[in-house]
Amino acid sequence: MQDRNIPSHGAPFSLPVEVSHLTKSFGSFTALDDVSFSIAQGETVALLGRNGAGKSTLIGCLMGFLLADSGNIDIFGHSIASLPREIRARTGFVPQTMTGFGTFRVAQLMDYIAAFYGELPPVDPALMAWADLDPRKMVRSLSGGQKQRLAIVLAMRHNPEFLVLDEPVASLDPHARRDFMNLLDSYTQRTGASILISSHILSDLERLCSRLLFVRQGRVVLDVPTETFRATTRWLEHPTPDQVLAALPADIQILGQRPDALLVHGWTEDLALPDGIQTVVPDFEDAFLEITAPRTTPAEAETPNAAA
Amino acid sequence: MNSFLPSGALERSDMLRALRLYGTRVFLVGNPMIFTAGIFILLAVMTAHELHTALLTQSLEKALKHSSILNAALAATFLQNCLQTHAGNQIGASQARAVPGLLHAEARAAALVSMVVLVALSGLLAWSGVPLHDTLFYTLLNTVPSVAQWYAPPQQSSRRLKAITTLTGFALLLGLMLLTFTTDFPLWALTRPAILTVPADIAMMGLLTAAIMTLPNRLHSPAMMSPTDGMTAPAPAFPTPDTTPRLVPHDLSFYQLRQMLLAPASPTTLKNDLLISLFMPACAVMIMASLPLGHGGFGTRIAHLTPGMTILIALQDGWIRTRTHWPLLLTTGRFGSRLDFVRAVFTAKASRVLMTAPLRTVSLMLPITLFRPLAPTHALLDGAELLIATLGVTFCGSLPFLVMKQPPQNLVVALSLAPAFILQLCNPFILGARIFGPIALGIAALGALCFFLVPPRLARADWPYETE
Repeated sequence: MQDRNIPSHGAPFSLPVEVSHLTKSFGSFTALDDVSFSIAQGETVALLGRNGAGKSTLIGCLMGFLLADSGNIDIFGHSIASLPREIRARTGFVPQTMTGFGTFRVAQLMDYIAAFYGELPPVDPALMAWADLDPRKMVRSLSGGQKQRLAIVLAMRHNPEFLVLDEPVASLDPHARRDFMNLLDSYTQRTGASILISSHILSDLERLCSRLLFVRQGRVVLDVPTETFRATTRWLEHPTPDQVLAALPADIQILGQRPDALLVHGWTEDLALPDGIQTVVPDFEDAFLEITAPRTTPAEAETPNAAA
Repeated sequence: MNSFLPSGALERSDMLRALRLYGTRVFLVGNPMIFTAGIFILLAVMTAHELHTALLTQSLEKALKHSSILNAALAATFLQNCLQTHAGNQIGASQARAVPGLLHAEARAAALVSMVVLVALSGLLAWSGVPLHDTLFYTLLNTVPSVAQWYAPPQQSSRRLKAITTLTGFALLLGLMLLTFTTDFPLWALTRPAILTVPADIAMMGLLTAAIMTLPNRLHSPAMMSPTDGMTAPAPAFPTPDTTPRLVPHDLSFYQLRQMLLAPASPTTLKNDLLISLFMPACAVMIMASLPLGHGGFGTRIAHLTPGMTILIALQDGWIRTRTHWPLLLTTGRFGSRLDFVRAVFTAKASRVLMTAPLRTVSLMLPITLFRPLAPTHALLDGAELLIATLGVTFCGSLPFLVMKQPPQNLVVALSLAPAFILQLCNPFILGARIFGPIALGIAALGALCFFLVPPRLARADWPYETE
């Protein structure tokens, strides 16, 4: 018998996610502007950006909740516009906050939702132990954090191969948050699932994710493996950053600028720099703030090297 | 395993699972209209029995004059409301769309249950001897306002859409009530030939099913994921007068304070409330009486209409049902202890109703007094009784708190609505002032009992906090 948890549908070697030239507007506001990226099997990708940068819109489009104005989204080789049921069953989604299903009991809801996926293996005991939910409690009587844990259990109960998490840990306490991140890590290692996670807890993302996708004002401004980001992103400190800018090779990406420093991506040990420049490894949060800071002029917003 | 089932079988099994929920507490709990629907189903059964007995000796026309066929229509309306709440809970859930097949299963189940309920209610009426195609026609016509509600469930839709849908639903409901009270609409609907009613039944069923089946598209429409909530504008370099925080709090007026206590989420200002109270009942009666419907002259039509319009002066808002703002207001410290706070809410409601109820009563009594015409003493007596009953009805919704610490929401809703409907069926115009007098005093006594005894009970109960 075929196991629901083994990839079996769609093109055999298709990527879990391929997004090309995605654009989405709400009235005159462009929420996503020509976004392209892909996620390979086993990758855990962090979606980073300020509030209103377009993260939730991107997730909405990826899950098929929102219709793109133009561009393509393929999930396991199938267009999101006509995703077959069996492909949908290979995905999972954790919303920012869980709403609805209030009059179910926890166990009843888990059984009800699970039945839509067909026969499933027993629930992962580690997942249930982490969730620590009373199966007899009514969903509407759960606290915000408990509801979120239930939403996570519901999304992971069928062992999805592509899991999308939209700020999943915002309402969890630090213990539950740390344990969940470990659980997610072991889940990807065990199943080889691909994950897209949006969160504002940067330390978690830096530790968990193999790739970083920075979004600013509806555009992907940096898409880079985490290791590469750590190794090649630096502050170049100098009293006159404009002089440094003129001396930098063209393949160096400028991510941000302070009065006394430039944040660059593409730095290497053997990069020839003018004298007097001090190289500093950026703190991840500082780098995030710099990369995702809104640009005030359209020209700045349009280019990743906005500060240049 | 589901994945090997053909898609038709898979959809059926999904729908059966969704259907089973209607037999569990998932459907019953948190469905505020369920008690009210139950009451009207009982009334519909009684009406059908009355009709059945009457039709043995009388014509349908005569039998309808002495029975309240509207109960069946209201039962259908409230049942649709229950189905909407249940379907909205599941279909509108944040994760629902990510679960394969769930949305369609729930929508199909809701459509099927909706049809079964309507056919069952029509069957019940057909028991009296009226053909089923006619009773179905009548029930479906009365369900038309509910179809509007299916098109935009109030709890999910945007404010503008909600307003349009509510107004459309209200206008349709008012239109149907107008037809029911002023014309022989029930008789007309129940005596149409099958050649007209069967295609109409099919068309209306189709409309209702389409409304339910397209519910997932509306509950998960792009408008619901509008990005504007999370958008932030770049902060200005220097604080401007608009962004400078106001350090001096601005004092609330006597009326604003009371407004906050009653319904800050959807406030009807005192001025609007007074205007509505003054003009709405009179205008409604006059407009309906002006339409060329029904029999007799203008005065006769007004006399015929007024009893059914008493609901306009007695229908309650959600002042006792909506309490989610209580904890926040209590923490302001403005109202004192918990008991002081609840007393302040009850007093605010009493002061509001003491201002509006006399206006509503006068507004309702004026047309019948002028155009019927009614003797001034007679009109005064009827008006006074109505006013006393209306004041009592205001606090009847809090009755469940007398006996329960946490009464189910649906019981509170039922007891808020039921007295108004009772007043519609049992008022001085129908029973006469002598019989209605003691009833009005009884209702007022019950209201007074609630006014004095419920606040201490509510002060000792948990208040809504962190609920959906």
